[in-house]
Amino acid sequence: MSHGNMNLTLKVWKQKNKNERGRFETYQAKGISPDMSFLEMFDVVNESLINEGKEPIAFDHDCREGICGMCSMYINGRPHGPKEGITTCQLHMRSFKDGDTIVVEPWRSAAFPVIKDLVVDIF
Amino acid sequence: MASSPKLNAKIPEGALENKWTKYRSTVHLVNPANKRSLEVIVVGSGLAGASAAASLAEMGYKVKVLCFQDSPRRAHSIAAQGGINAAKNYQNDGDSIYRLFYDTIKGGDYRAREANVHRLAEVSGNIIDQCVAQGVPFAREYGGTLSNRSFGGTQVQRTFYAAGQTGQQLLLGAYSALQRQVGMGAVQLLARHEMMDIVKIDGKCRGIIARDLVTGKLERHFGHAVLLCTGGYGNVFYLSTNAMGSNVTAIWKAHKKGAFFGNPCYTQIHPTCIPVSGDHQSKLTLMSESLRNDGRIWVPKKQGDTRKPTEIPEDERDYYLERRYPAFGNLVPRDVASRAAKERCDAGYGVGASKMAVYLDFAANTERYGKIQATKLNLHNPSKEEIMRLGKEVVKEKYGNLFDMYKQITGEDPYELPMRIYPAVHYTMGGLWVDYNLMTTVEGLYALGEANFSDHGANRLGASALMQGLADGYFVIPYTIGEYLSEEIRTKAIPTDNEAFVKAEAEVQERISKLMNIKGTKSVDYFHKRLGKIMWDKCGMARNKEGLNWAIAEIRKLKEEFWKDVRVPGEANELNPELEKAHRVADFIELGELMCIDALDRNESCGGHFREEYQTEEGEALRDDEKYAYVAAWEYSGEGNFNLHKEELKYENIKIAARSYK
Amino acid sequence: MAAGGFVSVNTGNAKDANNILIPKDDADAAFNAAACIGCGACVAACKNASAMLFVSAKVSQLALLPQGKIEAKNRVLNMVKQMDEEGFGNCTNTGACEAECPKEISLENIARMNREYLY
Repeated sequence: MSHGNMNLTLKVWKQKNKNERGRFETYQAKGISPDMSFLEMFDVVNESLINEGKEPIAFDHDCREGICGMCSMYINGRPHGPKEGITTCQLHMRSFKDGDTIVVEPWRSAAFPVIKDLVVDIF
Repeated sequence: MASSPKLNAKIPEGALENKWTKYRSTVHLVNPANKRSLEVIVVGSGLAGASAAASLAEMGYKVKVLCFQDSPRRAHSIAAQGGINAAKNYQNDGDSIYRLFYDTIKGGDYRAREANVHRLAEVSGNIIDQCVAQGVPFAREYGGTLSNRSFGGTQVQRTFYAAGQTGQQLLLGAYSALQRQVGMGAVQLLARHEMMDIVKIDGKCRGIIARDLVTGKLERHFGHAVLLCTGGYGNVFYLSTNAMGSNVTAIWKAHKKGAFFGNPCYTQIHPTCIPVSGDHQSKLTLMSESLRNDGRIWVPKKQGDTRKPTEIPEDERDYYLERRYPAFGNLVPRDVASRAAKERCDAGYGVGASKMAVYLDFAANTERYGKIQATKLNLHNPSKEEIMRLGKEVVKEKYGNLFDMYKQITGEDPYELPMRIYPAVHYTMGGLWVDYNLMTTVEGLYALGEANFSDHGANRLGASALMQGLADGYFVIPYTIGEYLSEEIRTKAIPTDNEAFVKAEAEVQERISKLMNIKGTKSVDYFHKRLGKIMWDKCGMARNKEGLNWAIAEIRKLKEEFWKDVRVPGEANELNPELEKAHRVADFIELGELMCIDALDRNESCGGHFREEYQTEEGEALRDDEKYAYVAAWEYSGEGNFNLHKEELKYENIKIAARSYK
Repeated sequence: MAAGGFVSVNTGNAKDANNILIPKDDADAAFNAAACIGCGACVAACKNASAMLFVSAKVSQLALLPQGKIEAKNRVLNMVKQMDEEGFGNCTNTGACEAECPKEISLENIARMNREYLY
């Protein structure tokens, strides 16, 4: 199902668990609307991965309104992405352009080991 | 009407004002030495769970807390924005315990239990004292005293707040009290753990089966008592203001093991949320009710008016709440405001691209605040721009984070244009039926906060959810649990190799295997979205007999399809968000059916439950007190079968009347 | 948090809330520090993996309020000790944490915590 006109390339950190080595995987995000939040874009990608019989990308999220503090992601080299003063869940796709490549990593810190993909152990 | 013999609410004798004080002083106690060997499991770490766990641990009980998030501080109470009510009368505007009690009963459309609501009003003041003592940074006046604002359904200012982040500050207060007990070893914390079922032995709840969400391992936990503080089930509608993980699983599993479900159809649709922008939408965001203090709600007087809101002159605007309800105006309760918005949009007066929105406009009050500021600053003849600039500063201090949030989501600046808003699912008044002690119909199993049905009747007033969650956790359960646990001091901890634990774990394991092995073609979200649409269309803001019958049939079909065709990728023995969702959605489907059955059974309109067949000529909800002044408590009796038990609601202190905000 | 990010007060028997008067500016400053959502961006952004911004936000909130003053000294000593034990790095004042904080928690909090720690 198409939602909008943006097509993006994602390079996302995939790691099975804390013991195995991770690597970047490339995904195509198609038919993205600028009104989607960054996490809703991930929902679209995951839905198509599930439909293709592949494993979705694991990420932490809950409130999706910028207050619970769970959506930990490094986006294009910055925590919570390119915009100041907001969390990943508040970042909307209108901050990106059609054709962009977006690199998504878990929190980069030895203090926060990866549990799976983008999910880290903070506490 | 007499109450069902299976429902003993255990309301203490005596005059309403004295019931709680007397009961609290005579309830059975557990001596400190015995408390150390009594174990309590608390599921959920929001306001109710964290405050209960901290308080019980302070008293000396051995406490275990579970939450599905990575930390108790993430619980969805954190997202509550506007405030918390308390009958302090700090504003000298005529507030009192009785008035808070009365407003809550009336706000709930005369479908709540008098004794519980009065107790809530009595302890409301203590909550504020407790939170201030913990260091919660409530908003203050220049003189150093606490500040208040107005909320819907009342004519006094009794709402305490911390900008638009009151829930966050209260939760962090309760969380810090909980962490203090964790640090002292009195509470054992199990984060990223989800309760999968309760364990009953000889009719009493004696523990739970939990899943470690990181390893997928099932665990058995014993408790002399179990407290479910797991919040509401608004996500049955797929789109709601709840967090993505908020779910019904804990209370639904308890329901299937014998806990009656009270008033499942009572759902709160909040009038001021950011409208749906497309079919990608995963959740809806609330704009706090506190905005209705300073925002005026309107639509154009002309149908299908496509002009920009700022170009529509004053006399071509319909401030429909002020028109229909002059006494309360924009501050009518949520159910009334939501229905009025729907009525205007359905009649063709909606605004925005989808036409399913109304305006919430701050221009008039920004100007008013600007003028006040100008006077304070001794500015003579300030320009209109100067006034608006000063006014914006005031508005920003009051609601800055909400305005920023709106801008992030919609891309529009609410300081310049009015907000577009539409009602969305926000809270569920229904929940597990509990007695005065907060115990469910399963002995030893309690439900606190939004997870119970207790205090809000058919409609909750704004800023009362935080009040109830903390009342239950800090001030009610610490006393009432003694009534049960004082009888349990001889019960030794039951080893978890007991056959009841083994059997319960095996059942959970079987269900997991079943879900993993369907290997169908559709994602969990696909089913969740379909369920949400059925519920919103037929069991949402307006309901009718035909629609509900249709919905019940559709949900039964959906359930069958789900168990044949859902696809859960990955493995069961690892972090697997799709498997977590599958469990939750399977339970939501079953709950959805019960909600429709309850809505169909209640042949009246009250509060958030609006049956189109039962309305006044002006479109207001029409109650039937003769036949329906009862709590509907549903007993599970096997696959899709539910038996109704009634608890009669007796009003001895309030004269039951038609609810008017005109 | 369990190492002292709280006021040691049990449930019940708190005095009437308006018995403690707090200047509006202090209450606002405490609130701004308390707005931290504990997301971990500050640690992730820091080349030393220091948790100073997170810890200092809690220390500051409570140090600014009269309710928190009584235990202020022990709180800061215990929380810093705990932070060190958990392996978080040292703060070298690069300011990366403040720049990346989604709630714009100020570096001032670190300065305030250092003051609380030293004096």
